[in-house]
Amino acid sequence: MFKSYLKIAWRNLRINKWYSAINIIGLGIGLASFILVLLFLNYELSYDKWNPELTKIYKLGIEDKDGIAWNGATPEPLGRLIAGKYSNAEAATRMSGAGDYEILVAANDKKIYQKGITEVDSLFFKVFPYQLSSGNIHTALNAPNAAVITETVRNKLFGQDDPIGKTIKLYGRIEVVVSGIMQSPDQPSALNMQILFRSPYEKSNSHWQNFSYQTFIKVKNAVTPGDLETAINTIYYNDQQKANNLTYQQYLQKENKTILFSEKLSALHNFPKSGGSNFKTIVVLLILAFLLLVAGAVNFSNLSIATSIKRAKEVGVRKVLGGRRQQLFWQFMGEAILSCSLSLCIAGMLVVLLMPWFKQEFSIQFSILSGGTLVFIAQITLCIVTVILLSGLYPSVFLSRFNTSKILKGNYSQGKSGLKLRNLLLVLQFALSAFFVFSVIVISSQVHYMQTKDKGFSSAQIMRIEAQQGTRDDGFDKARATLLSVPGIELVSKTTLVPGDADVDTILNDYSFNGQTIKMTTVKVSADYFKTVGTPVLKGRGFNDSYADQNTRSLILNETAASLWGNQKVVGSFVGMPYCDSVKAQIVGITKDINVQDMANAVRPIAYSINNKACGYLSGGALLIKLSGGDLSQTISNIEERWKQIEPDTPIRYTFLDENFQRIFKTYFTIQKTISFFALVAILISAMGLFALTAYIIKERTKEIGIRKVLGAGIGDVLVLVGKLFLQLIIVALLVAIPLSWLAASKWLQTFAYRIHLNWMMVTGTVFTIAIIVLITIGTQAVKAAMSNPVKSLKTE
Amino acid sequence: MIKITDLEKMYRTEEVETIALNKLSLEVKEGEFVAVMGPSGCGKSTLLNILGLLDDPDGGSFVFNGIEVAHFNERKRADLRKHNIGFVFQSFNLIDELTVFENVELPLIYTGVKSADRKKRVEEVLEKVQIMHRRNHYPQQLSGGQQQRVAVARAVVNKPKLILADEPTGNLDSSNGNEVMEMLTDLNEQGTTIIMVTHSEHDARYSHRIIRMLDGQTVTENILV
Ligand SMILES: Nc1ncnc2c1ncn2[C@@H]1O[C@H](COP(=O)(O)OP(=O)(O)OP(=O)(O)O)[C@@H](O)[C@H]1O
Ligand SMILES: [Mg+2]
Repeated sequence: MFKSYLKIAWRNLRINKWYSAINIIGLGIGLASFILVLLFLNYELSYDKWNPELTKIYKLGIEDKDGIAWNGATPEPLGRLIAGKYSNAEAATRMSGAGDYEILVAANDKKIYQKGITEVDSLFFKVFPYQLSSGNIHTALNAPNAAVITETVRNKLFGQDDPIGKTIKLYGRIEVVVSGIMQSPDQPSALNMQILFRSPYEKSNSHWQNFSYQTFIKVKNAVTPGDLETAINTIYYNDQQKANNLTYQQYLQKENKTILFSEKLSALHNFPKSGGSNFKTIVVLLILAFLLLVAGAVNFSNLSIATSIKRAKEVGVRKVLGGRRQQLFWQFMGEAILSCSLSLCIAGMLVVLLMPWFKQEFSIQFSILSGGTLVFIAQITLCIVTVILLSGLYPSVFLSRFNTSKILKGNYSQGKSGLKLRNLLLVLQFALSAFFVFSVIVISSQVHYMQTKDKGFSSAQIMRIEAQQGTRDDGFDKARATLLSVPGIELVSKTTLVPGDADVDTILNDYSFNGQTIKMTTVKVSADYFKTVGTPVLKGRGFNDSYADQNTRSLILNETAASLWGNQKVVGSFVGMPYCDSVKAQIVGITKDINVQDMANAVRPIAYSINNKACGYLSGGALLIKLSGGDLSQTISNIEERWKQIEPDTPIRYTFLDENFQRIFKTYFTIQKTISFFALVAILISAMGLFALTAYIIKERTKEIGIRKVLGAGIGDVLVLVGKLFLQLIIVALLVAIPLSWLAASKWLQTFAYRIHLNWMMVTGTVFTIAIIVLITIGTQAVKAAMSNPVKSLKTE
Repeated sequence: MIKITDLEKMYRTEEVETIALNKLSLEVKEGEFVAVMGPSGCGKSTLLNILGLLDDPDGGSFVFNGIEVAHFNERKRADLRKHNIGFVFQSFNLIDELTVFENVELPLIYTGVKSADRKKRVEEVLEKVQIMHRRNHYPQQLSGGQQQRVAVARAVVNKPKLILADEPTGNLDSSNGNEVMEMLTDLNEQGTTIIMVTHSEHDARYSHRIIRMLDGQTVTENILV
């Protein structure tokens, strides 16, 4: 039975070759987009699922009235306290990692820069279920100078040699001995662990005021988040916070309190309580991709309904010959199933083709099955069943319901009851296209704006050299002199806040003025910094070599900071620096604001000063070198040569500010490209749907057009006749889409401190684009219909 | 009114070439009622289409109202057609989506008649063909005879000088057929020239003159009046 359904379905697909091809390809593209985003989502959701034990691990953090404290870090002894007193705790550990920051690692004669360097305690493997391929997991971290490295690091440092017992040097100063080789999990993890080591300063670091550690505990038995938090908070309160003999429950009633919170390790990547994640973006992408899929499925539904009038007779005859409604239902469903299966094949091929591009754009490493084979098969099955139902259900029910006797008498008017739905679906498709077109216009304008807006400085020909703290502080003058002797170098300066860096320090310091306290970010620079980056001094003067300037007695504010002081005369005033110095500093100048990052964040109020020894010691930063034109590669190799004199132990690491800014903008480029791709798919799907529908409708109305021509209708009249059918629908689609897109776009723009304003030109652009697409799609066919000889069309009767 | 000389029309398909009209000559005077008869496939409809400026001939001359129109382009033909010629078909060719009134109104819209005038003129002709009471019905709701009366009303609403009818009674029973023939005779008596293709000797007798065709040529002419 089923085979005969399929056979008939196949025959029907072949009869309506073009319609079928349009359906199948459109749906295939929609499916491919959806599957790609779905894979991305699966990948993200697969973070920290590589071992069942991981579900028992929680990260602890501290919350006070200002929200999450210390960016989610905790005091060093917290884990030990909880593990000792909480009966359900199996173990606890604390760690302090350099994360994505590259650290110099040396072994024998090899020197590499490596991410994922993490200081741990001896209990690390009691909590985390990593496996060692060499060494004993129970004792590996027992020695106070132990280190465990991954296979990757081992290959980089030691090749195939046995590293156990060998010494490696971290940060150019900490020597540790390799005691084990760890296997990296085969699925992604929020924690990038490449080298685990125990610090020689462990003892002195262990006190409750040291908030540099992330604390993880592992529980014995599953526990609800509420129970867990009550338990650990009771312990923490009684041990650390207790005052005035309040019980923990009484303490909870207070406004101003400090409490612990927990988050599951497996949720850390997607739903972190502090910091952001990709998850929301992916979910939005998935919804959009799903809409595309629906648009593709709609084509099928639409064309089936369109052709249904023709098929009404077939249905009538079949019914007379004894076909039951159920059988007819399945026959039409068979067509949907067959088409959708073919679409799935096309989608599969597209996914394989697009995958490399997609991976590169989103900087991810996943394969089709990274979310688990079974889950993926289940998802795809669910997805395809939904699509089959979406595309096949309505036409099947609709067609099998036709009233036999009326149809055989030639009354096909029932076939027209699907018209409303068909129109609604067409409206939806074009609304979706308009939404994407508008989005692309807005996103592109914003990206263009961000790239071309005056950043307050010039990033051209500026080299950023990573330098050790010593080179940046005491050694700076010598390093500068050494570098300046290289021909092609104009200026050498340093800053603790480098424009274009991915991570920017967000800490604000107090400055007092006329009894008022104002918070500003402190940035330490050298005298030539503003000249190097080409930022003009707007009022007062820049830094010079005077004693006051060189010793933090002079400050320069940026415009934003100056505006915080109101209309008071800023330049020349003296400012106090509480908690740090008893002597006041004088503001000597105001510079233009520098946008150090993308435009998402507003420029911070900044107080620039020189000399890192005085007030507000700051780590981080880099040297900046302004190059003059000329032979760039020659200059660079000279710099590399000279660097060996400055830092003989650390190979040079440099980037260019221009490139760094491009990297910062990459996420926006990716969004721009993705949405453009979606727009293209949406347009393609709706245009194909519209094309087929127009073709069908024109064919259906050839006779009418012929009659009208005989009665005197000109080409223009016929064009209007055909155009009118769709014009109203397209207008409705635009009326629906534009307010919604406007809303979504302004919401997105809100995430930028510096943004474009939505304007009517964007709406016009959208309307214009859609109009052109519609014109091209239906225009050629309408003209052909209008030009055709009426005698021929009347003859077909 | 119409003078054609050595008119030729050929249809080419991949396999065969059909000569539909073979050096056909014919003259029709203003106010005449002419019937065209002949076996199926002899070229009657082809002739009517060319006379109606729906199709162009491959050769020969066609003078309409003193103007040579054989080489007219589509636009010029359309212009001439909508002001001068009305059509009645065997299969009525009414538009299903439009009401009786709207169907009849259509030619007036295309000749740019104002809405108020249109209403008056449509009602006039609907009155004349006695279908006024059905003016808001759709074609499917009418009998064949009624549909053909609407088609005749539509053909004459523009007051054309020439009416071309291709087997106007072919789909009708004899009483309905007679009614339509009476209507055409009335129109002719009021001065409209009529050329009608028919297979029925009975219908042909309403005309003044019968032209008999065979293989794309006229063979005989019977003058009846
Ligand atoms: N579009 C066409 N393509 C090819 N051949 C055609 C076409 N139209 C007509 N013919 C051929 O031209 C010849 C004349 O056709 P026409 O329709 O004029 O005949 P007719 O006399 O009206 O016949 P009937 O009485 O059956 O209506 C026929 O042989 C027909 O097959
Ligand atoms: Mg004929």
